[in-house]
Amino acid sequence: MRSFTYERVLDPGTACAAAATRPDSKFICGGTNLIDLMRLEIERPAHLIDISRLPLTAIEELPQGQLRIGA
Amino acid sequence: MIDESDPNTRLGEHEHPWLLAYSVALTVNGRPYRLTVDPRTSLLDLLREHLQLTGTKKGCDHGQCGACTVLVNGRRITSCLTLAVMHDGDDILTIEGLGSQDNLHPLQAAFIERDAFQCGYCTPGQICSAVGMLAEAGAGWPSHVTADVGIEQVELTRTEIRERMSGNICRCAAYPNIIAAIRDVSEGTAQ
Repeated sequence: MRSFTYERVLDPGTACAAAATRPDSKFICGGTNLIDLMRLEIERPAHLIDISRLPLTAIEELPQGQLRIGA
Repeated sequence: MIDESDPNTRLGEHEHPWLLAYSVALTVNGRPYRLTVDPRTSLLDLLREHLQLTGTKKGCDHGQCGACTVLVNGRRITSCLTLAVMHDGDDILTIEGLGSQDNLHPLQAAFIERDAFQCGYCTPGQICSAVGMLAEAGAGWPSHVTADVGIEQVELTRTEIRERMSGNICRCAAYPNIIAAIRDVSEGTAQ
């Protein structure tokens, strides 16, 4: 696996800003797919942005009967 | 958190990313640790190579066999497919923290009672996975084979246990006894 820099972000705005300034970055959350691909050097991000701590965990009911699922 | 101004965090320069190292503070089996690791280090390698906690096994290193299953903040994960740097601040529980020879965890005792292994290589992962699985079922999480996903308390039938433990492969095929051991604990009939 090629090396990379790493940062953990805590809110969606910071995550978007981090990705905008680093086109060579990838988001990581669970990692079950990305890490495998990085080991095989199919994916070679120079920077990982860890979004596993974003507080998007709720399921909200919206006024018109829809649901918004945080993920 | 990663503090890039901390000289311990960044050993190399930007143009030499292979020299990067990050500081990680985490709790393993109740003991706090602070380590400096290469960002490529998996949680599994941190446990085995840095902390010498070799109870957690490396099977496939691809997240397919479940031998490396540990509990992170109470939830089971395959430690080979997660980076150590992602677990700053986390609480890790491995087979070494579940019980001791003098004070076995009920699942460890049930696995012995039911002869739920042959070679034993998958057993630490099976037991950690079963601990996480019983907590999930206790919290009412449905599985792929749960007929009524709205049900509050799932009955852990053989079919349910098979499905919920399907991420843990046993090459010796001790599955009937693994299921029996887990049923003993889930039904409170363990010896």
